[in-house]
Amino acid sequence: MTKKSEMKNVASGTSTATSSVLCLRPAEQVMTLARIGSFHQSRLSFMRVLLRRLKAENWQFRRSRWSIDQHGVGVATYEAIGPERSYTLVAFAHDLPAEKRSDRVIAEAWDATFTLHDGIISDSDIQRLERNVPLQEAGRISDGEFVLSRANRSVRLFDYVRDCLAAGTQPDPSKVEPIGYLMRTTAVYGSGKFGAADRDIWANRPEFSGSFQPELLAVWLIRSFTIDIVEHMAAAKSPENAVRLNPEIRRRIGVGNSTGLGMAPFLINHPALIHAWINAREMALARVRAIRTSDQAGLERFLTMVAKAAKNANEWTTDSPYQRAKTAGLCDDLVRLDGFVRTLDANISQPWDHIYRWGEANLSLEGQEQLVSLLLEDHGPLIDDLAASMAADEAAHFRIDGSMRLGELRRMMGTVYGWTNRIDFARNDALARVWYVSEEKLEPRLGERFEEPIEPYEQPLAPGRDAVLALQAIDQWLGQGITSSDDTVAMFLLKHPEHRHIVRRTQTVFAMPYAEIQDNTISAEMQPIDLLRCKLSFFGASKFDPRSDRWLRITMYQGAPFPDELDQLDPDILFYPPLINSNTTDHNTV
Amino acid sequence: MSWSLGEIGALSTKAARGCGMDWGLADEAGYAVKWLQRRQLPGIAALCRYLSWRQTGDITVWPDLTGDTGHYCPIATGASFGDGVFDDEVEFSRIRTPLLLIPFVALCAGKTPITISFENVVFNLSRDGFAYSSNDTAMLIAASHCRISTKIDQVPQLRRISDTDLPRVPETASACVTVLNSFAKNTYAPATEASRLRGAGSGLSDND
Repeated sequence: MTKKSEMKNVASGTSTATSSVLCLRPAEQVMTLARIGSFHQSRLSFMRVLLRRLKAENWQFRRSRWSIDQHGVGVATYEAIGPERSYTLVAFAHDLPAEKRSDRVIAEAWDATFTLHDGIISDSDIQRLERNVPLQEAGRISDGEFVLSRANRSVRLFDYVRDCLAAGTQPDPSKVEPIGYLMRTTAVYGSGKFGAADRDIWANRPEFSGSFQPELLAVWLIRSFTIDIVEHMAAAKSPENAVRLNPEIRRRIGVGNSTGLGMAPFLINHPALIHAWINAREMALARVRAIRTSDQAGLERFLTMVAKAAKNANEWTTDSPYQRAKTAGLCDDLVRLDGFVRTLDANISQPWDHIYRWGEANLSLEGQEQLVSLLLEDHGPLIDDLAASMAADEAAHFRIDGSMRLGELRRMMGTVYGWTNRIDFARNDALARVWYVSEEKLEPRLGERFEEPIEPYEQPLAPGRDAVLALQAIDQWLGQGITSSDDTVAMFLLKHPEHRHIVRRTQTVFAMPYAEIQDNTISAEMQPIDLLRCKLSFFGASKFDPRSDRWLRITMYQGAPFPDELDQLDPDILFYPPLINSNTTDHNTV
Repeated sequence: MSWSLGEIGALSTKAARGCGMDWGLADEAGYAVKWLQRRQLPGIAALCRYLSWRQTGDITVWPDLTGDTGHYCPIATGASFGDGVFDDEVEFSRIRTPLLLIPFVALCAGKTPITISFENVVFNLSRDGFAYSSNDTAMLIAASHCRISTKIDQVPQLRRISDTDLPRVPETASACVTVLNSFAKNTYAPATEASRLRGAGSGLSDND
């Protein structure tokens, strides 16, 4: 097996314009909760990967049904027609009493419910789905469906926009911008959930290469529905006066999402996939840093991206003291980054590496990770191919190598989990939390080990603690005298099945440096929203707005083109807010 | 109504854990049921029967401990077989629900095909596919002596599985799903008002 240290630090170069050896950031630097909790969306985020592909393949879109009454109740369908296959978003619109509107995943009624159907849908399938999709978790969908979702109207924005349009006026952009959505999804389920098709059915379809592509196609089409329904309700209220949304304002409306702890265990339960995501991002950074030269125009384009990021940060409102402090630091970082880049000579060697190194020494984690995303922006041809590597065949890692000598496993475990040396698991605060699943709504929760009777229900989401326990058992085994390091893993597991999950994990992650978060996921200080933020940044979310340490709101697709304008606009340019009156430069008609 | 394989695999893991298996072995139970259902074999019924029996049954502690009484767990024994604890030629007495052993034997069927037989059921497993002679009743036998061998007299026509044409778990499995759900429930913590607020971290209005 290749030595881990060789794999994580060096990868082969990509072109003669770049240095032949790429330096990847070491996992011990990248894989802390504080850093992954500071990640930002980038060119490799899945929403952007999806829109690039849909545009490159010239997908066509049409609203094929709109049977919604004046109360906003009915069904609509949106077709996405690709070169080989088509998909249909089916949207059921409901008349939800205000008192039943809740973002919590445990709600039982919503303003709208959705499913993504495989192919062009028939009326009989719509009738079948009408009996199930509005029930969400209490209903059943089939292997003809890939996604199940629901959304609620924004109390802050939906009625305001409807009333503006009904009065024949446009909503104030300064009210739209900080909220950024008319409706919020509260769950987007895929991969076999609630009867949906198993991932294996569509995993090899090129249009879904990468991660979460069916889910994000559904969300992008949901965005169109949210616009259509607000315009419909405005017209219903005032048929004579109502106007449609101005395209520039419309584009600043994305889809909201409210995400809680249900998402957090994902990062721990899918180590091979997480490695694939982070490895691609790190590889992209390394490729950009290895570029030998740039020019003044390249630096100018970078400064434009910094200005857009600063605008985005300045418009990023949150009540969370945790995020407010981070965002304030980011705003300051971006001012200093701008100042530093303006002092640079465009002819210096490896300018992007120079900027990155300055950032590492001078910026907060929030600023450093924003810098990473910004460095990738202008180098699509160099890095976009990495998106195809952001998936994993997790089943391939399931089987334990029982023939491995126990001494070898001991060495591997000591390497992978060496970071646990700084944690004293004898202390209560190192063991303070318990991940468990609530009986009430079958959702992951986080409890206090020493204050609640929940330890018997603990989920295996503390790899560091479990590795330490396994190492103790291995050392005890090796110290018995009658056994030796030539004993196999199989023999050890026969006697110690309680360590089976962490042994499997160790063998899986050993060759994947970015697979494991190198922090204690059950400590008293752990911030669960760091886990959520990491995953959501890979989706392409922006404006992270923590509502506590355990759930947050985000905006998806804010700024992105709509289906009816994808052929004219470059989606990658639009994922940061446009600079002032910049139709010609920012919207970049192509 | 039908279930996806992923759903049934996840439910099987939770049910096995709810019956007291360690997490790593519970994962193996999920693997076994998915492997069988992928081949349209009654994996969910087998796990349902095994876990129901296990609640009160006389089970041996671990696969390498030979007792005069009691039955061997097909998941623990299977996982150990997959790990390489046993030789290719091995016999087990009193394996409970031996159908659940087969997915683990399949892990070891590489260049050399392997045969596993119990009662009048014979499975041939190879890297390229599988074959069996049986009917469903015999396949779901409660317990049996079991023999694993690489000495195969005659390899029947192997069945291969499609990469994309995945079977569903049919509505006929609904009773088993109900039973597994009742076991899975043992892994869920009863809610309290404090945990409702604290566990999900919500005290703020979420209706914006």
